[in-house]
Amino acid sequence: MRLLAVGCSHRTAPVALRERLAFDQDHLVRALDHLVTRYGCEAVILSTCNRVELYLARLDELAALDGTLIVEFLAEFHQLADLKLSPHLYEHCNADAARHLFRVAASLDSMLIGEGQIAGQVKHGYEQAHARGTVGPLLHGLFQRAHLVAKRVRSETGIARGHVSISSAAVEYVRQVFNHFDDKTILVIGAGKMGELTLKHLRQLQPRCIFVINRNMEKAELLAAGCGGTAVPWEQFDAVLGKADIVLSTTGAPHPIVSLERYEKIRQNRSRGPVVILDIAVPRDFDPRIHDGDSTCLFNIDDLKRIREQTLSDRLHHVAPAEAIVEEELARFWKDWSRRRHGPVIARLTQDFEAKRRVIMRQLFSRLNGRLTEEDQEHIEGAFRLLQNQILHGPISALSAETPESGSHTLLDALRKLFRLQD
Amino acid sequence: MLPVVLGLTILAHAFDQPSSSSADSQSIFALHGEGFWRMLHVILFVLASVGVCIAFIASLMYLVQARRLRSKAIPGQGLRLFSLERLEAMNRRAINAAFPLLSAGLLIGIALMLEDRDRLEGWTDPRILSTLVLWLVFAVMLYLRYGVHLHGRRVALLTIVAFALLLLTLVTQHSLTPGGRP
Repeated sequence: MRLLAVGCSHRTAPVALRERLAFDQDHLVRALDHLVTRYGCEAVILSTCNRVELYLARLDELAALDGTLIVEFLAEFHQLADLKLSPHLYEHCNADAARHLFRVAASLDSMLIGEGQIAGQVKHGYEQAHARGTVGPLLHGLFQRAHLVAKRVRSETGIARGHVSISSAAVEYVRQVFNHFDDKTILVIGAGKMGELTLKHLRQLQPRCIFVINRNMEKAELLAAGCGGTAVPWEQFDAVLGKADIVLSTTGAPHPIVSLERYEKIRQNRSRGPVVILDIAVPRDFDPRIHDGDSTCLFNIDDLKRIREQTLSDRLHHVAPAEAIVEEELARFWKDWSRRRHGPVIARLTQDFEAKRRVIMRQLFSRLNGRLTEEDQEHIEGAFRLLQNQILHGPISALSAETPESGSHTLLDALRKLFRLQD
Repeated sequence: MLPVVLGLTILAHAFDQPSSSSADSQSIFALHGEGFWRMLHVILFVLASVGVCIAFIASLMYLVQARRLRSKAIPGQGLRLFSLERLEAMNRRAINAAFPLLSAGLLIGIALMLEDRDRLEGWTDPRILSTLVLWLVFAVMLYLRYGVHLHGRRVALLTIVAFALLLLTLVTQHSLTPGGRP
C-alpha cells in the first residue's frame, strides 16, 4: 500500500501562492480525473483558503507513488514553475499522511486551532471526489476515520470551546446580558464592512427590528435592505439610540460620536432595560466611560479580541489530549486496514495448509488401515494440527505485527511466493 | 433550603399551640378558630419567604454577573450564570408573587397580635414596627420598579435589603415573643 499527501498550507506557503494553487469546482474535477488516469491511484483534493492538499493512494504495493511527480503535476496544472513551487510544498507518506489528515480534520493544524470549519471542508473534499468516482477503499476508510477523529476531538476535548471570531465573541457578550431577543431592537451605526459579519451573527438572534443609521442615507438604505432593517436619518440619532437594546457601531468617524455627556442625556430619557453597545469601530465611536456593566455594557474591538486570545490560549491546553486521540485512531485505522489487507492472505494460507494436512492424514490412515484405534487416530490428528499451527504461527504473527513503515508489501509478496498462494 | 427550614420551624410552633388559645370565643377568629388563621398566616408567610429567597438569590447572581460585565470578564469562565435579563425577570416575578402573599400574611399576623393585646406594647412594639418597615420596603421596591422604572443593580441591592429585613422581622417576632412563639 502507498498513501501520499502532497500540499501546502498557511504554514508553508504565502497567500498569493495558495490562491494560485487553489482548485475551484471545475479545476478540481479536472484535476481528479487527471490524477486517476495518469497515476492510476485513488485521489481526494482538499482545497480551502488556508490549504491545498492532494491525498493519493494506490493498493499496488510495488508501484509506489512518487511525490516529485505529483509536484510536477501541480506545477503543470496551475502553470507554475516547478522550482518556485517545491520549497512551499510538503509531502507525507503512509502513516505520516494519515496522521496529517487526521490532524487537519481535527483542526490541530489550522490557523485558529479548534475552528469548526475544517472538518466540514475535509468532508466536502471527500464527497466531491466520491461523486467523481476517484475514491477507492483506502481513501474511503481513511476519510471516514478522519471524520470520526474530528468528531472525537471536538466532543472529548475542550479544543472547540470558546469563541475565536470577533462576531461570535460579540454575540457571547450580548447573551450575557439578554436572554431572549424577539422584543429587542438592534441599531447599526455606520455601514462599515467590519460590522457586516457581526450583524449577520446578531440577525441569527432574530431581533424584533433592526435600525440602520448613517450620515449617508443611501448607504444606510442599502445596508438596511440587505439585512431586512429600516434606514433612519442621521438627525434621529439620539432618539433611535434611546430605543435600541443592542447597538453595533462601525463608523469610520475620526473622533468619538457619542460623548459621556451626550449619552447621559439619552440615558435619562430611556425607560427600557440595559443596552449592549458593540463598538467595533477604530477609532472608537463611544466614550468608554459610559460602560457600567449594568444599564450600559460597552465592548470595543480590544475586548472582543481579548476573548479570542484567551480562547486560543485555553485551547492549547487541549492539544495534547487531541493528539493522543489522533494517535489512537491512527493505530486503529492501521490495524483495521492491515487486517483487511492481510485477512484474505492469511485465510488462504490456513485453508491451503488445512487441505494438505487432510490429504496426508487420509493417506496415512488408509495405509495403516485397521492397525490404529480411534484414540490413536485422534492423537495423530492432534499432533498434525499442532504442527500446522506452529508452522503458520510465525508468518501470521509477522504479518499482524507489521507497521506501515516496515514495508508490508514485501512480506506479503514473499508469503505468496514462498507458499505458492494463488490470487 | 432556608424556606424549608423556616417553614418547618414555624409550622412546628404553630402545631405546638396549647388548646387554651381558642378560649377567646368572642374574637373575630371564633368562626373558624384562631388555629386556622394562625396556620394561614404561617403558610402565607412561608410562601412569601420562598419568593423573597428566590429574589435574593437572583439578586446576588445579578450583582456577580454585573460585576463580571463591568470588569469585562471573559464569558464562560468560572460559574456559569444566567443573563442579566433573566436574573432580573426571576427577581421581578418572585417579588411580584411574594408581595401579595406577604401583605395578606402580615395583615393576619397583625390582627392576631392585636387580638392578643396583653402581649403587645402598642404600635411601637418592635414586632409591629419591623413588620411595617418590611412591608414598606417591599412597597417602595415595587413602586420604584413600576413607577420610576428602576432597573438593574439598584433593584438587586434593594431586594437584598428586603431579604435582610425579612430575616430581622423573623428574629424579632421570635425573640420578643414569650416562649419564642409569634
